[in-house]
Amino acid sequence: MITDSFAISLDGLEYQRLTVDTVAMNIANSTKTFSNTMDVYKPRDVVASTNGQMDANGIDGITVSERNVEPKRIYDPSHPYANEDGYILKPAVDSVEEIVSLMTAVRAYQANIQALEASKKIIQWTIDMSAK
Amino acid sequence: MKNYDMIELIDSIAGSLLNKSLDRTTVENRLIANNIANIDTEGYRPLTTEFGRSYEKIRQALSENDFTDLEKVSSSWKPAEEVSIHPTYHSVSLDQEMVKLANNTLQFQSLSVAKTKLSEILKTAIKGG
Repeated sequence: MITDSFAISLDGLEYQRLTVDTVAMNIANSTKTFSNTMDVYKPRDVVASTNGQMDANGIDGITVSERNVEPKRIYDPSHPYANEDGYILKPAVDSVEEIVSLMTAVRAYQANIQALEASKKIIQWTIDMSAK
Repeated sequence: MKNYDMIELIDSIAGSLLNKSLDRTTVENRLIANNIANIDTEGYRPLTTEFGRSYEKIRQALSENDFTDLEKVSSSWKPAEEVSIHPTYHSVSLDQEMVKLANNTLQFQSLSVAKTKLSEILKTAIKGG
């Protein structure tokens, strides 16, 4: 069914929007300071997976996972959160990396909209064809 | 080679070929949408109908003006069942998909115009000119 392609494009749009949300969350948390390694915010990634079948049913699986990275250690002994060695901990968010994935996600979002427009046109022409 | 009447060519071969081609562009549209949605999916291979067996045969029959073969192949053609992994692209390339999308949409439009014209020809034939 042609209307299935609406659902497929919607999957793509949702995935890219989730990526943008995740980038926003990573950047928002990047300046937080922590004193305990266990509490440090870990940057998150959105991961899409496929079931390997050729059934063209949109994205098969979307998961948000934490990146397994060590927090940044910054020497700042006068900081209220500094530990006994004088270090504070900050999340290992690479802002350049985040901005790049933000830009890619926005472009891919636009591409999904283009695909949606094309499906819409095809349905419109089908209706015009049968109206004649 | 079998001789075809005008009406046979217009009605049966052109009609079924148009319908099946419209089916194919619809399936292709869905596959392109799927490829674009899966642009970041790990291990996803882009899908297409462009390398379907019947589609190749039809293009060959058309270039050779072989109407007998064309009629046979187009009647057994099931575009939705001839989906395959793109043989040369191992991951989704956005520009490639956008070009395919534009091309496919225009193809659908021209096929739908052709279908309307075909029914006008039949209408003229029924009215007796």
